[in-house]
Amino acid sequence: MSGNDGRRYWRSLQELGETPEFQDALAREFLEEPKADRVDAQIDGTTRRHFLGIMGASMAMSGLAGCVRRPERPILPYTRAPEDVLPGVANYYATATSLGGRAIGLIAESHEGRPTKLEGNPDHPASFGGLTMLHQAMVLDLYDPRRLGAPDSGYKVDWAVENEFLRKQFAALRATNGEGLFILSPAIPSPTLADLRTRLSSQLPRARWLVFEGVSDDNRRAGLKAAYGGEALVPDYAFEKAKVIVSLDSDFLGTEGDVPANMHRWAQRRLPDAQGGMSRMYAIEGVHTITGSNADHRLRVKTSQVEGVAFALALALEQQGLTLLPDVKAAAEKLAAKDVKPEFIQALAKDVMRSRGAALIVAGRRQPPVVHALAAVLNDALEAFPNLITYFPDRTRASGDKGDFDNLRELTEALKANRVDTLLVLGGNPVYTAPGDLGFAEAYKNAKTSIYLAETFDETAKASKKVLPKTHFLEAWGDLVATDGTVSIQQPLVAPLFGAKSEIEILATAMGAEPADGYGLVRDTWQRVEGPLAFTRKWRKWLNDGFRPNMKEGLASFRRATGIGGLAESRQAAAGDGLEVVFVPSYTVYDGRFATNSWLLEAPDPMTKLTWDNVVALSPATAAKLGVTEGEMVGEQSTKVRLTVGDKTVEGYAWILPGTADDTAVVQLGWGRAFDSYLPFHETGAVGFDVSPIRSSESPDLRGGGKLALAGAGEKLACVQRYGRQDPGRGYEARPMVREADLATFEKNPQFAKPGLIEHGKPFPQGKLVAHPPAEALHPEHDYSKGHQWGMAIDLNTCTGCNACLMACVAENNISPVGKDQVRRGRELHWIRMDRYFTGDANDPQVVHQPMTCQQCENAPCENVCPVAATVHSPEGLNDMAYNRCIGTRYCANNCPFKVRRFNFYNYAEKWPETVHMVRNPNVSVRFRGVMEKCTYCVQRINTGKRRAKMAPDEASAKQAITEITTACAQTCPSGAIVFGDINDPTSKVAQLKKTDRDYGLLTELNIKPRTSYLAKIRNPNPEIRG
Amino acid sequence: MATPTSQETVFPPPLVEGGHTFGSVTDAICGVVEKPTSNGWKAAFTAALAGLALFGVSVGYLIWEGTGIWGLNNPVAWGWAIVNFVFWVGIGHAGTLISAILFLFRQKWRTSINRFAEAMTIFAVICALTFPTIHVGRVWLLYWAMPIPNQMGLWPNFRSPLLWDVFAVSTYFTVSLLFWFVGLVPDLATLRDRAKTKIAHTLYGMASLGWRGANRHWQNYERAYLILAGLSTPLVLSVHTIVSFDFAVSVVPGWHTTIFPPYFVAGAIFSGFAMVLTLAIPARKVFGLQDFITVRHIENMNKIILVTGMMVGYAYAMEFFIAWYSQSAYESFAFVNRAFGPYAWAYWIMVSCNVITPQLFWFKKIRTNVGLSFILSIFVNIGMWFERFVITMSLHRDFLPSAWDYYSPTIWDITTFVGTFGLFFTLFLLFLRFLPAVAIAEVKGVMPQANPHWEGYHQHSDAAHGTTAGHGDKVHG
Repeated sequence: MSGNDGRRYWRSLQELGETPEFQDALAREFLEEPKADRVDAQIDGTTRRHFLGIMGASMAMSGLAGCVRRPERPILPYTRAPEDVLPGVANYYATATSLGGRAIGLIAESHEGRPTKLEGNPDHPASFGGLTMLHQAMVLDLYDPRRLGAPDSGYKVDWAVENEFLRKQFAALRATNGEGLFILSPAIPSPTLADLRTRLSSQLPRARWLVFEGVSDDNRRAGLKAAYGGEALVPDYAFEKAKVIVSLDSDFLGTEGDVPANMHRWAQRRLPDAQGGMSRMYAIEGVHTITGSNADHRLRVKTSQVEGVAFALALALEQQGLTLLPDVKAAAEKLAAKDVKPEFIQALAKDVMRSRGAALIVAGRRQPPVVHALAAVLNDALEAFPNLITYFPDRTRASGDKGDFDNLRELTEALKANRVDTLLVLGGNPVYTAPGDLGFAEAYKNAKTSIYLAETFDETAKASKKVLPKTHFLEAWGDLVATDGTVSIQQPLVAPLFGAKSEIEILATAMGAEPADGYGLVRDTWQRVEGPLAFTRKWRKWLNDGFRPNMKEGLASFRRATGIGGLAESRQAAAGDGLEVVFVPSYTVYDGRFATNSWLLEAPDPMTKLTWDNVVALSPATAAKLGVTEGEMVGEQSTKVRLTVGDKTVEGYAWILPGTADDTAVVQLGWGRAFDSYLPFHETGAVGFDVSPIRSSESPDLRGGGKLALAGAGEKLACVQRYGRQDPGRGYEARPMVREADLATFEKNPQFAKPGLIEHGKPFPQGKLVAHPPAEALHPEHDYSKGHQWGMAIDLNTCTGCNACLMACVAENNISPVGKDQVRRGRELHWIRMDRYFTGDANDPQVVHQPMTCQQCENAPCENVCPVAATVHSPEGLNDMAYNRCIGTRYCANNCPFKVRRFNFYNYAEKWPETVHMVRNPNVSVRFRGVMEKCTYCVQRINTGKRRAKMAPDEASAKQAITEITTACAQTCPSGAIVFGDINDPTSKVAQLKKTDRDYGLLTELNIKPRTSYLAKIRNPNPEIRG
Repeated sequence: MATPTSQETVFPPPLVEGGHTFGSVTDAICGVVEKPTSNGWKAAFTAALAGLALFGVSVGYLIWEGTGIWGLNNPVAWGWAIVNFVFWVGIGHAGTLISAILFLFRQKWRTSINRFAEAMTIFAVICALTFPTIHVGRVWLLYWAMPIPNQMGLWPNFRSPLLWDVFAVSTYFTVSLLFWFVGLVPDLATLRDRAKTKIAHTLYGMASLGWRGANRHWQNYERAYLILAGLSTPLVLSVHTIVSFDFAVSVVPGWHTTIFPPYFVAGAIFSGFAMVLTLAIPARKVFGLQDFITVRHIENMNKIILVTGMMVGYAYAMEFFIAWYSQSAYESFAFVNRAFGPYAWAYWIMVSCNVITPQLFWFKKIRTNVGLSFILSIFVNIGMWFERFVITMSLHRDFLPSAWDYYSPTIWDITTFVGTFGLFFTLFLLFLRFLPAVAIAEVKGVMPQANPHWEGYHQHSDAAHGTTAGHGDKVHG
């Protein structure tokens, strides 16, 4: 401070005066007093020195961090923001679709203009909020890279040219009043399309409009016509009111009718505490269907014998005092199968008679018309009609329409005779779905002009002279009418991605109708119905709600069935000797229309658990007779077989499906189509084998006289469950995964499912499995009694094993299909594994289904073992998975007792076409290779709900928002078997279910405290039937 | 109480045969290094390098493509990689055991095989360490398993046995490496002093840390050696204990057993000794070291194999007993399934090689038969690999039968495993070529000449003395 010469220099008067303030300031670093929070130069408890230290270390470490791959992606802003679109917040629109002529209302989720997920419209009578796996997967087809007009499809359309062509083509036909014009349409219950059809018939009266569906309800229509006369009818069953359900080969829980509605209504009465008592269900069938697997009693007979059994039932009912119509009586005397389990049929008849008025007989589509007529007559006599059945007009047909196969035969003959000038095919790929005996594919080429509205370049497109791109239902305006007459407006969520047009637009253009745009056409139709008064308001309400209300119109006048209308021919005789070959629609690809949908190709068949393949399903006894064998683990080695019917042969793999009727080979339709693969680990090529060649248009569901020859060993099949029993073998007891009991046992011992006891109502041998003393935690356990605590309860009574949850999960959580080879190696990524176990007799087993996914254990074994803490528990009880932190040691998967963790062994989602990326949910990370993934209880949906609750204006709506939180699987489950919610809220449904007697957790003796629990399965067998 | 009946029982046979002097010992052992490269070595090294190349290709492809190239699937998320890891770690046990524990127990016969065994340990641990490194899904993020401070305050999960593994194996590797190197220093100095070329002189000189054989050097050396031996001893037991925790801490039936730590350690010693024999028997023949690695050494090792083999056999039996005794159906099924399920073939290979064939060592004729010892040691190696395979495969059938599947390796599993032998032998052949395979200084210490009261040099007046000779009065004395 002072110079050498003693002179003193000062900076300020304070210094000169040597004030204490100055001395103090000199000692401090800053002249001005730092703010209070920086008194110790601390930021969040970190000193500057420490901060610099950390930064230095971070700089050094950033060299390593540079190894992380972070793909660069440009982000483009909206220059003009669209209305109602908040980036990151999904929009929901009501729309509708149809499958096999059955309409269903949907709520579609849209992210920034991309539809990503479909949910059932809870207010729609065909859905009740649920969807099947087929509906869930439909959204993927929108983005199929092979769609006509897609960037890689090599197809471009110029509508100016095409419209001109269509107009000219139809104008030329006017000279002949439409002679030579054939329109082949799939069954679409669209009033606007029906209206165009009417207009066409007045414009071109000689044109032929033919409806064809490869999976046909001809039998039902013919049978009901015989019983009731008049127009084609569709029955609507009130399963919720039925005490006894008898399925005559009907798969109403699988592929027949409005499946989600059937499941919803059926489930109401399948609970042991259902109003009026739990229903009892009998299935008489030769194919092991989902419906049969959920029946209390399943009578395994050949499909051709169901008819005889049905007549035997009629006779037994008569013995019990039911009056049969004379022609029914006569036919029954002649056709009844009197030697097939008479005591079963007697007991069944007694049961039906006891529940008269609440007993329902449902005939399946594979059964000949006479069975449908008989079922109608019996339902009528049993007062099921009109108590439990409403008949509605079949809206996919116009009056005077023939059956599907008669229509196709007419067209084929016309083609062969060169009488077809213009053939307009509105979709449905008939060249593929036509039965082989018609020679339709050959004849198709004879059309002078064939115009096909195609979504992809399929078999029919290849054979057509002109192909026009058809819209996906999410791109086009339309209207669809449900079974009960409820009309939904099919509202598009996105403009046609690849410039396609809908069938009504193309037809209207060809006819020269005005307006010719979808919106105009549909609005016009309904404005004509409703009148112009306040129409816009109504229209907007329909669009918002998803349907036009109060239009249920049943069978106009109540009339009694008049008999079976002379339909007394016997199927049994027609079936003949040899193997009976039964053709069924595939659970996953239906009639082949989904054979390009990778989600569905990889979805396991609910019964065989096979993916990427169809098989010739045989009973164990038949397989043994033919020399088809199988090891302890199914699908490891397969047997190639040649199936010959008449002079046609197809080659496929044999598969032993317990529960199939003996001397029966069940084959699925819809396979053998080329899958133009975009999956990096799946090769392009045919998937499965096509059975159309051996199918006959005379008898499209069943053919007798089949021969099966072994054709050597086949490849390993992509089966996702290789071991089908609950007992592990080697003399060990069945493991108590699915716990079940008879209703009577349950009533005696309601606690039977609790640990310490076991399934089948027998007390579990003490000292084994569950009696193992429960492990105790080493450390004090976390307190989960506060806040929201998420949990799930799955009711095994109403779970049918249909796989809808699995597919909803795929759509919601961006789960990649991995391809056949990878599934074969056991690497499927589905977060839900639908376990199916057989119990009882090997040839005639009972079945239980159990959806198995992450149980969100409170003491999760997976969490302890992760070296990098990539999977940890959230305060709300979720077993969270931080994908970005995962390094892929796979230890968690090993330590998961349920084996529900899935690993990305490869980069499965790599190199997909851009269009397929568009289906992804932006709220869920797409997992890179080397990362573990698993069910998260749809954490993104939970967070969306919590956000809504936070923004809610009042307490009540906040509570409502929390109550509405549900997972994708629970949302879509048509039978409501999966219930999700806050278990800390005593009013929530899940909390209440968890308090019931049937509730049990899996492997609780490990002290893992699973958050998902199951409700034990209760069967309701008829005490008069043994075994 | 048996009475000594022969001369042999009173005076054990010499540990070095062939009438060696200190000088001839130095010549014989250094000669291996100093002689021109033999064609045999060149051929062997070429083969080893080919194996190493195979390893490189396998690992490169693995990292490029993902763990999907292996046969892993949903229930069996750990396959050959973990089997190989445990196998190699097990082999890496004998070295430190021979060096440290036998050293502390004053087992003088260890001196001629300890160098060898330690080198084997280090190379085996290197092979072992590659597996946990490469088997993870995202190799490039492996450093997240280390406790490295980061801005997010994220630490590894200290409850995970895999993390314990990281510490246990790396500690073991470090200490083993130090122990080996410290033991090498006097011998490196010998090689430095005998070096004919400038480059060899410089390199050995640098490695020998200025060793001059001074009394003070010897004192420091012996103290360091003793401390490291003391440190290594618990590590021998801890490392495989920790490795066994990877399994024992889990809930998987067949893994979740408290017997694993001792059982794994016994198994590791068992396999380690077998591997030492597998390597030493051909090496002593090829390099003419029969005088140092004598039949007595081989016999002693065979005895240890016999004992540890029976311990392992006891553990196998006890696993079954406890599985039954616990009355846990999952547990007992896991073991029944092991013996009679889809992997029964592997189980019975394991039992045959680990429990049955070592029983032949009860016979002195077989114990002292070099050829048979070699063959039986190979059996043990095979058996111990299968033991780890059988244990790992407990995953294929655990709690829920719906999840069961079968695991089979792919070609890449096999090439990766075969490749590690390439890595191992490359390192081992380099060791044989450039470093003294037998601890020269220590061997001298156990020779009769090292006894201060020995009075035989008048009979061997032509004997030459090496630099390091004459520390016979070290701890053995």
